Amino acid sequence: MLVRLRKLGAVSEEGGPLRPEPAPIYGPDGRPQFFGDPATDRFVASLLNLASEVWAQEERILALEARSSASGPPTDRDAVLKQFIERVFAPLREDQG
Amino acid sequence: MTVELLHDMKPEIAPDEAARQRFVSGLRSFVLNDLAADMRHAYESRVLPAFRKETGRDPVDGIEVHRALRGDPAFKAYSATRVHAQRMVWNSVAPVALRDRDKRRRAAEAVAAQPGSLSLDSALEMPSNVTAIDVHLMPGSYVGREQAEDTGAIYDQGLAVFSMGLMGRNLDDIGLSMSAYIKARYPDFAPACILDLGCTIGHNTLPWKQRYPDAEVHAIDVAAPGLAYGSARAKMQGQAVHFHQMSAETLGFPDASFDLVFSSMFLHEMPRKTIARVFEEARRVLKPGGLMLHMELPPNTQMGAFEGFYLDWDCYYNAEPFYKAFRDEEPSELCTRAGFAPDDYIQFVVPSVGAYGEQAVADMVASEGSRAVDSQTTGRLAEGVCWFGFGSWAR
Ligand SMILES: C[S@@+](CC[C@H](N)C(=O)[O-])C[C@H]1O[C@@H](n2cnc3c(N)ncnc32)[C@H](O)[C@@H]1O
Repeated sequence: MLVRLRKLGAVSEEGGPLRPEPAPIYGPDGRPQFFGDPATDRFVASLLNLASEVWAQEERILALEARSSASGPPTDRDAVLKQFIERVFAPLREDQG
Repeated sequence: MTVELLHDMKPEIAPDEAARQRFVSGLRSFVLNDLAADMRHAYESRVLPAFRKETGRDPVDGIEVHRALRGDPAFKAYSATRVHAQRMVWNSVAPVALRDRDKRRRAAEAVAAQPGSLSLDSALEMPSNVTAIDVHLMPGSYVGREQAEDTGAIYDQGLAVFSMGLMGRNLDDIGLSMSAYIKARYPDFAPACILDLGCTIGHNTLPWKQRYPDAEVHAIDVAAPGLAYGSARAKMQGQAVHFHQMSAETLGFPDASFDLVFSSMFLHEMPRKTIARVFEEARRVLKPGGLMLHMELPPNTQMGAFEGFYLDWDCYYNAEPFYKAFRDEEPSELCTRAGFAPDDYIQFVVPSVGAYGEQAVADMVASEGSRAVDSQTTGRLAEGVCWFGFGSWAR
């Protein structure tokens, strides 16, 4: 797919043209702007908040499960969190797995 | 990983709050390790070749790297995530600090009579670098707004989340590492009087008292809330430190009164004119044979264009407007301009004591070495962090 797109010139090759800067550094609200439309930056913030709330629910479930199971809570909660973050944010990685 | 505070002002945190704090710490670790590595890879594999093709040369500095990278998706992923993660740090601790206020007051009252002191100066004119911006997106900066009284607690708890364990169990890794280096490198230097400039809550002041227990240790800052909190915090940890509300530009101490004038993560938050005055004041209050020592971000002049861009990112996106101008300075020139002799200049990169252990510092000194300034971990809050220090001896 990627090869085909490259042939069509739709995707830049290594050493292809520099991408134009997306936007001014700061949006109309004075906050950093990274995407063409400043509304997109706001959605990123919402998405991160949402992931944080999902993780808080996940911890609740882990605690409830630990109460009713003999094995107790997971021994390495930080490792579980790391996997959670890697799963949720895989699309942000260069190698999307 | 978040750090649990090691003193009696440690807050009671509800499970959901603790979960959010853990999340933002984990998110920052993902950004500063994984997304940062991706951004570097994108730079090397896409952006640099494209830049070369267009210009026939490499970027000369961080500004050019920044400009070339801004359109790249890896830059956007890293930056947009990092900016909001920074806001989430403060959001995750502010409600806790507010709720916990009374308990904290009681804990502070309980140690009020312990050795150490606090002197505040309500007439002190506050510099605009502290009041006009929310430094590193911390709501209310160091002085606070509605939550002024909680500012010290917010900073302490925020740092515990922000640092991902890389600034030590007591958030004192910089002070521990710097003092380990000085003690190992200059075993005959025994400071009797030590001053920490811009101490905030004194978290990196305390290691100096621990390293040199007989020394009289003073710490100053312009912001009262952090000093009040820091004074109680020091007492709770059994460290007699004297905290003063004072500007580093006009120190209320006599000439030649200190053997060591230290600061950490301080200079990059002020305009260059102020830095010049701070250095002159440091020289004035130093005794002959004393040392001025600053732990800081490493300078652009001593690193490559990409590394320079990477560290200067904060200047554009983390409400650190003085960061780049400071990093563009040559540290040795800052010292000589203030009247220190060129031969008396020192600089080094010390491995974090928390990451590598005290022995690593001693080994480095024994081999008469220093880590490279231009390394991927110098001044970067990622796994394997090292700290940059510079300063000058006074004659
Ligand atoms: C990043 S904090 C330093 C933190 C601390 N030293 C550490 O090791 O992490 C910068 C501090 O400098 C203080 N500050 C800024 N301008 C100052 C001045 N002119 N004199 C004294 N303190 C100042 C701020 O109030 C703030 O607490």
